[in-house]
Amino acid sequence: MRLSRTWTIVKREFLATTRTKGFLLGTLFGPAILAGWILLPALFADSGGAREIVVIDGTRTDLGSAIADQLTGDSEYLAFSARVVSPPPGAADSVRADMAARTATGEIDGYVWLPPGMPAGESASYEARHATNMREVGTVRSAVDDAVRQARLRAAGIDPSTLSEALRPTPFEAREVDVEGRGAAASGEAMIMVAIIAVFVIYFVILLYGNNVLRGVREEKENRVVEIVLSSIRAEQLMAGKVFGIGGACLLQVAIWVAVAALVTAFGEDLVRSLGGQVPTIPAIPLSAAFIYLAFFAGGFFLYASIYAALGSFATSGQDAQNMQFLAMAPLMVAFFMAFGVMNDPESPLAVAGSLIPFTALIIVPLRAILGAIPWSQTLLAAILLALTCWATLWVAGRVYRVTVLATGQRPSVRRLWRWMRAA
Amino acid sequence: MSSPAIEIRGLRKEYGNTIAVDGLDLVVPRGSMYALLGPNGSGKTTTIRTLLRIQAPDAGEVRVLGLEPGPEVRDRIGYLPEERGLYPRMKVREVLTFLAELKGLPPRASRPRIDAWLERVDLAERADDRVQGLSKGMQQKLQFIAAVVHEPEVVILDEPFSGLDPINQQALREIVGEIRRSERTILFSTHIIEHAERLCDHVCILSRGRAVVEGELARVKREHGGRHVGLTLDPWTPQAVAAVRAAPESGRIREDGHAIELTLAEGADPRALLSRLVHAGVGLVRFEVVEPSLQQVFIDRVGTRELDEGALV
Repeated sequence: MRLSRTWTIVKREFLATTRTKGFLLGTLFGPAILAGWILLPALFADSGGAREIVVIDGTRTDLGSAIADQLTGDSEYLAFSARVVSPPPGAADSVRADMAARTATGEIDGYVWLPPGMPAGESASYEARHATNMREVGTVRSAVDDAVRQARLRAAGIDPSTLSEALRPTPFEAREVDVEGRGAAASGEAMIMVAIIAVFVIYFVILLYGNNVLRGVREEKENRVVEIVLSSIRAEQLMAGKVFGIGGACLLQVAIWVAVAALVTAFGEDLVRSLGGQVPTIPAIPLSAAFIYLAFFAGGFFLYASIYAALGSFATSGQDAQNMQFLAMAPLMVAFFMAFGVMNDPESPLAVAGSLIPFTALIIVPLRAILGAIPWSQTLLAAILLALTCWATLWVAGRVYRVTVLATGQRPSVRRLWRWMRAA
Repeated sequence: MSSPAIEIRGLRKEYGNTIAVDGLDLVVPRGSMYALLGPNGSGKTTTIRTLLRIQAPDAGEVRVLGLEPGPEVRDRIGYLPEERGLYPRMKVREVLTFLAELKGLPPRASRPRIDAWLERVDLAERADDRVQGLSKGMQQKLQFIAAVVHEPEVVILDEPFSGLDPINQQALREIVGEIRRSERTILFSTHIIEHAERLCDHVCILSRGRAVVEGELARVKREHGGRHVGLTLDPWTPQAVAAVRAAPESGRIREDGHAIELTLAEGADPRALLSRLVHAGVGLVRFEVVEPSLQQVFIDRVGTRELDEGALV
């Protein structure tokens, strides 16, 4: 019966959170970052279209042709159209001046100057309209390098293709082995990337929505609506409804982000490639790790949100609340930075300790689960400890909330707060 | 015999070193309109919050409708707090539906009642507006609707008229009168003596967390009657007023133009006072033993200090 009243609060808080422009913008923000990650590099790299350049070959060798071939062949990100001009003796300067003028007027995008002493070490140069474009300059530099290297090899009597075959990189991949003995299919590097993203999402979402809870409590306290609500339900119910309602909105947003990422990965590959983007390789996350991630995310959210709610009720002003946020942020930040140590050695004593301390477990356990480096026994123990701490924190925070939410004026001392809580 | 609507025995509540309520006893009969009267800081709001279990008492017993204040009782109480507030970004009908649901009234049942109340207080056209767009007076009307929409058996109104213009005060008085006629109990907290005297049939005067007077208003006045004398002097002269003041039968005196209301000294006989004034040559056109005003009762029992502080008017 009374649970239905808590549900009424949950509904209100959920709708109040999800109906805001902030929620809409935040929900779009995740997919926007994903789209940016995939598309922007390609789109920015493509700016300006194909480059038309001239290679002025003063070396009287076939170096200019080799460079032009390299450039026209290397069109993965930036297309080049290159032609070679071999100036007669004594005419190099006038040809260069002519090409500089054409570059300035936009007739061509630039020219590469290969001086006569270049095979002996004299510097080549590239003068262009986009000489600050790193990709463009890099491609030209790479073409010049390759052509000169091949010329030197031939001069030394070495077949460049033989050397190239000898120096071909050996395929190598690091794969994480699950501590439970199951072989993992994904590469270690890809797994680390996923783990980093997962840690960031937990950290920032809890920080963001924890603040929402704190602000909601502060607003209720400041505009005095809390008194009329508390005439119908207990303070603990109000706090729990607030935490679960805002928590539901938070999980919905994360679910939308995950769903968009999954859809893009599953169905958007061709579209992304047609737009010039690269679909990142997302390793298959075991279902158990996904479940652990969501469970610890939710448990951690309720743990921290109840602390934020208690702080919001305890604070006597908005400024006071901002200052007190640090009490909730500190353990979360410890967990966040601990995660980077755990990534290096996910079975270290630090990793085990971080898993069993509920205030850090919300990040460390999912991280180790994604990396396949936590045994079930530890996961279970960490879950029990987190659940117990969650319950205890909700209870204590509920009591704090109850005795402080109507208090105004000076913030009560911890001693007085304890006395109020015992009397409540 | 049915239990009282509200029964409080030995209630005590402290905030740090401040005693807000100090051993309060009071009984609110069912169907009565009961005034909780006292200056700011006398313990009215703390008493009300304890009734609703918004705050727990340090000591004492509280019963509402014969039960300890708990979830079952809360649904049978309507409350208009003194410090008012609503969710500013919610719409008018939404916020009323939400508050009614918290009292156990599902949206389907509350909808027609809310619409009828909005019509009644001239806010029907604002039903889909956000609360933050309403004036303070309009928001106060919404809070009043929230207090009564679930048709509670006990309605607690904490300073209901503060912030309302005279027209809306009159409209609210009429609605309160209707609720009263429907046999429901109204606990009305105010620091304005005139409101309590005009509207209520029972009264409790609080001073520094204690009840100094408690019971049926007529009885309270009767018990304080026989000790108050109304005089009108003609001609009014300073000498005549001085003679009234000097009489050993005179206690506290309140002048109002040519009229004087005085409280007789302990054990004094009004006939002895009349005889003394006649022999002193004081011109009298009126000399009557009168029922005291509630303000006079307050002054007699509490003293004038709190009136002088301007907390009670």
